[in-house]
Amino acid sequence: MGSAQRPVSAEHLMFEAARIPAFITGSEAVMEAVKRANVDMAIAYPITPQSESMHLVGDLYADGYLKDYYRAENEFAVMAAIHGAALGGGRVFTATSGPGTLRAMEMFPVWAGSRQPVVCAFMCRGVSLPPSIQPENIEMSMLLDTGMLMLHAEDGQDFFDMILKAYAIAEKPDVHLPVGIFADGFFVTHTRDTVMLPPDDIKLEQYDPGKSPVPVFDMETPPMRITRDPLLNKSNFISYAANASWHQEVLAAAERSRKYINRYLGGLLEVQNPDARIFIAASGTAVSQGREALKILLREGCDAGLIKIKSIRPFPTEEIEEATKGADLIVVPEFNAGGWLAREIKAAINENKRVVAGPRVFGGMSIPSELIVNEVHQALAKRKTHMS
Amino acid sequence: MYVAARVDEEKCNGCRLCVYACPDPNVIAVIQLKKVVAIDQKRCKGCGLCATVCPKGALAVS
Amino acid sequence: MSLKIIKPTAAFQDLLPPEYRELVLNGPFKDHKGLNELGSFKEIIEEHPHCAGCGVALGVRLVAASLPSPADTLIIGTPGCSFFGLAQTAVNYANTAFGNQNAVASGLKRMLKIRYPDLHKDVVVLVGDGGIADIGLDLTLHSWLRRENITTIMVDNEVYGNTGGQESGMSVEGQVLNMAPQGKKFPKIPVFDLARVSGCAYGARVTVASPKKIGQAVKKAILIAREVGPTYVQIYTPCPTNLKFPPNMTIKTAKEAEAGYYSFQEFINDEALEYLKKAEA
Repeated sequence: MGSAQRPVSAEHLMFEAARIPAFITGSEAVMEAVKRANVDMAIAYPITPQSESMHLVGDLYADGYLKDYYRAENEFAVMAAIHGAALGGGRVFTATSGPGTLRAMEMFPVWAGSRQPVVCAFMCRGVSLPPSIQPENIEMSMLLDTGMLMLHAEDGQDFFDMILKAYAIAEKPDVHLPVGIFADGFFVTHTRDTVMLPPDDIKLEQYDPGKSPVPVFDMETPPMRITRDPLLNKSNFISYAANASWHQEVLAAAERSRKYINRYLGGLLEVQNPDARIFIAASGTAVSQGREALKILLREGCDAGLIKIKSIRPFPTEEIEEATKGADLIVVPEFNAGGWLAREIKAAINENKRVVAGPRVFGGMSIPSELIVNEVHQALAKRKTHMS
Repeated sequence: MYVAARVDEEKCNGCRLCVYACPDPNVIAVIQLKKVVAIDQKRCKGCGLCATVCPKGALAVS
Repeated sequence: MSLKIIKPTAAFQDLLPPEYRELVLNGPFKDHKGLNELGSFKEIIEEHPHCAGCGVALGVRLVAASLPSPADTLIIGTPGCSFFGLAQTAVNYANTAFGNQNAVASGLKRMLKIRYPDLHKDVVVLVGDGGIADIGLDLTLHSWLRRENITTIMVDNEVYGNTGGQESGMSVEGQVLNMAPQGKKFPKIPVFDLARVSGCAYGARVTVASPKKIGQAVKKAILIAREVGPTYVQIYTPCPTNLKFPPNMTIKTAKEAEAGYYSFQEFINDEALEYLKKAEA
């Protein structure tokens, strides 16, 4: 029961409290995170493969861990109500997937523009026609410029940790932005994995709306007249001046989040074998497949390493530049047809011809480690013929 | 200077119908002592709704 | 809202604009001032760029003067014409993405109930016909079906005014408007009837030709929404600019409608009636 939990600092919950292993699904990991997050309100709507997570969050409400919870009528309504609840000054949580994300799209820039520390889990899946529930994360490419922070979970452990850490990062007064925690659907949500959990008799401290850089909306907080002002009603000049500076502030807040992502996540990315000449760079479950491919490459005597990108927004531009400055080849396996991660990496580094935007799988294809290994071999072969 | 409503205090009997017809806030004030209304000409947009509802013809836009 | 938070410190008194000082001294926050006292107190709406003779402006002004507890009222609006005045109103006002006002209001009301369980925080949706009957119909109906404790007020000018006079779901059949060059081909959407069957505890249909009825309807609607269930007030607020009649004919136009298809209607369920009786006692 929520009231029986002892509030503790984020640092204690995430780093100091002793953890024990649990063999749970990604959906259960979401529930375990929300259970310890001292969330005031969650709102749900069914869509595969996030429904199970939100069923379990509903059970948390029934057991007294959340103060309010309901099922809304569509994802646009969910995200709009989350906006309203966050306006009211409480901590909120929700989740969606694929077409649900797209249906709710209008609200993500609204959350960011309103500087609301909403945490939303996106359990990624196919979006287009023909309808598909297969895992792929093309929806992430469509959210890159909403102003929302984006963290990509590799597995159940990441999913659990990132949701909790997202609240700590998002609620910092100099950040105060929404955070999306992304996980590839089914691979993470519906498989069981060992997740180290801190005890469930502790929880994050209550969200304090007094620390928000934007006044809370409850007719108790000066200044008295607070409007999410439609500045477009004023003169063009006022509209431009206020909006331009406001948007710059939203961008600046994302930049300011880097130090907290470093503190809580131990870095925006992780590098294995930093001196390698060949890297597999990936995010999400593609990292897991990349790890397997790395094992094969190392057995072959290949000078290879792995870059796991954890923060997509803000993107670890400097870190990627630093990590790849001595590399000849960067192979980017992805679970989407667009190749958005490869584009991000190419935009961040010099000599981006070193980047191979593949293997890209989508529509339900998986990335066997051999596919990644082949991609490396082919790229190396091309370079040999090019140089000879 | 403004196109605005003006009150003829002789004709106004303080019925306040105009107060409920004006779309803009704090344009028409009731002067309790004199039992007439007064128009804030800076705020008045000159729409003429007050003049139209006035039963005494005490208001006109000019 | 504690009145302490709006009272300026002595050193700042002279620096604040006179409109603000008037609001603190002669506004409706301290002593209750309602529609009956209109003209003798500082209204919570400030100057706004509504057209001269605007029916929506009149509707919004009358609603603002009828709030039972302006010190604890929050208004949720959406793009349209209504938000010109609402953005100038001395209560917390949130604009929203077009049409999602009732979903935002649902989330806000519930969170305020969590944070202030012993206070009545009146969450009022005040929005035009486009936002409720068209783009927001789904979310509006569902907030009623879920029995959210919010008041929904429609200022109905039967057109999309702000965007240049397009046909709205609330336009009457046959009305020629932009995007309806041959006249509207389907009837005015019966939102008032939908409110009744979707679970609203109270509903009233009024026009700006009857300000006292607006005052009573708004007060009842907000009080009932506190404890009983969702409530709905639909106000006919004609638009001289887009329906092309002289700006001094707004009230006459409303009066004519009131004599016909916009006649006064009210519904109230038993629980709401009981609640009102207790509240008045």
